Amino acid sequence: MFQVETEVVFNHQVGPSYYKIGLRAPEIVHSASPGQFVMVRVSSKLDPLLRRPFSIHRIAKKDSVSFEILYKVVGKGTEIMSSLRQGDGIDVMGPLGKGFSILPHPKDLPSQIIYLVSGGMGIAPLYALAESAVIDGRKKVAVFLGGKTKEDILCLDDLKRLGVEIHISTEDGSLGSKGVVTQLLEERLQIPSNPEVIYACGPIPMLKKVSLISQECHIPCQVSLEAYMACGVGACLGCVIKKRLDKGTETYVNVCKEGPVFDAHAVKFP
Amino acid sequence: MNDYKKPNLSVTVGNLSLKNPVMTASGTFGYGEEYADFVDINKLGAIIVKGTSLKARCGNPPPRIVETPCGMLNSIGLQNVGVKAFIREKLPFLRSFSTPVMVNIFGETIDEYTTIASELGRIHGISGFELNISCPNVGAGGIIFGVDPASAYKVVEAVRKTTNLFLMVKLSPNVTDIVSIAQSVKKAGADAISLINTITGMAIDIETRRPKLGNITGGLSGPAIKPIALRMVWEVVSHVSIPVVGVGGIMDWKDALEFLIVGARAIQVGTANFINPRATLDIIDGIEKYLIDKGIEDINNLIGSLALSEGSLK
Repeated sequence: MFQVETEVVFNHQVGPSYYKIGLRAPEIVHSASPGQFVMVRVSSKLDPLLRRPFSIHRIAKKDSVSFEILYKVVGKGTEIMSSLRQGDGIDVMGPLGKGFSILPHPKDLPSQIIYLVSGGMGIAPLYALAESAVIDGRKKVAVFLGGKTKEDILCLDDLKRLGVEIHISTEDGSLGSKGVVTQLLEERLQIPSNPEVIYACGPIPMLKKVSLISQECHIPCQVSLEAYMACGVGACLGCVIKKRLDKGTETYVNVCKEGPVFDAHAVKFP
Repeated sequence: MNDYKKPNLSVTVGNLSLKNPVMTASGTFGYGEEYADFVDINKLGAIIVKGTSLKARCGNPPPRIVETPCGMLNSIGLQNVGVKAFIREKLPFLRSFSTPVMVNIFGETIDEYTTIASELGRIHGISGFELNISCPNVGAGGIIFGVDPASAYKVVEAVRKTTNLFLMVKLSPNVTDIVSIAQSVKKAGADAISLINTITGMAIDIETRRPKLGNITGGLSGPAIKPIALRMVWEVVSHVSIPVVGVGGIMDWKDALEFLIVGARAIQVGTANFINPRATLDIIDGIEKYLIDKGIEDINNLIGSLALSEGSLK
């Protein structure tokens, strides 16, 4: 974990309220893995006070020194962030938390397929996973993108360039099939030969459904969760979710430290 | 810097000697290990660990955190591993540093307080206790003891009889007369007082009309509460003779100096740790630089030097 003054490499608008920011931080880039996050202090002022957690969206190739965050302007913090310019300095802590785990490629076997299910901003950490799974993990990847409208379908060009299988659904039918993304997932699962793992990130009701579907099909499932967070390092105990333990007991665990990626079947969704 | 003589930063709080007056506030620095990547723990004046109860507590339902202008509300509910697991799993790491470790202890009954104090009193590596009689986020115990002078007296007296270790009592600002509570705590045998704990507060989501915290109410901390904390520290140091440790909204060295000038013997850094993990170290450096700039050789000459009338500044 590092606390570094990063430099803004770029900060582009990529949709109506969506932005992508590139930050130069070799220490973070070299130790980060897909699914981990960073805590950004968007300004040195006292309001907004707390750092903001963001998934690492893209970890640049080994020879590079910067990483990307995909974010949506939703309040004071992200509004300030969207006004940052190339060359500005910004205080970032990371990489934090436990990311996705990609199963090793078994010798002498064909590539396994994994499913990535995203609702809206859910693609933020899943893109890093897709990139890493294709390039380093030798996996086949199918991505399921869901959103309210076509404007919430993000990273389409990047995913196409990566050469992964893409399924799209929007609630208003403005892009892909009309409906929710979990319907697409269920349809795809009709085809025999299950994926090795389903990875998901998005709103809680979607994650709940994905978890249920994967459980019924006996497919391992990892979900990346979001929570209100103050410290990001396991000290404040503010970001807990309920986790199932053996023997039917439950406990609160920190999203920041034990997550943000969890075994979906161990999460007790609200 | 070599041209200057380094000023003395060490202070004493009761019988406790600290290399500098900067402590970490309970609940904001975990058990130290969470921040070990960012902070050299040996450089801290003291470390006060998360509120510890007799048995493990699972805490309140989420959401537990909400940001407010210049502050944050929390309703963690004293989630902690319990005293036995603390000794077994958390203390060994803390023992590897020269910095004094104080354990913030919490009970639902007086018996629980004394049992924890006697269990921890037998253990090597603990320099003292901070008695939590001011947590606003739990159903039983805690703040119940901290809002009434007679109850505060009883619990402090009972713990005092159990242990000879340094005993500091953390007071709640959610009272009408902080001085009467402080006097009571002193009479019961406390070595020091720390204040303030969080101020109870609330926030509502106007779309859903629900409280933003799972526990409905929570405790406000951060820069928003600093003026209140400072005023209460001043009231207590003016009327009660035991040392006071100031806490509440200290974000940087300037904030820390305000508390020291008012008369706090030491300070605690809380919410600031979340925003800047190095806040404690930055504050220590900032205080030192201030003393050099002002030609003050010993921090003890600054403590309590509040100039109340014109010309009284030495």
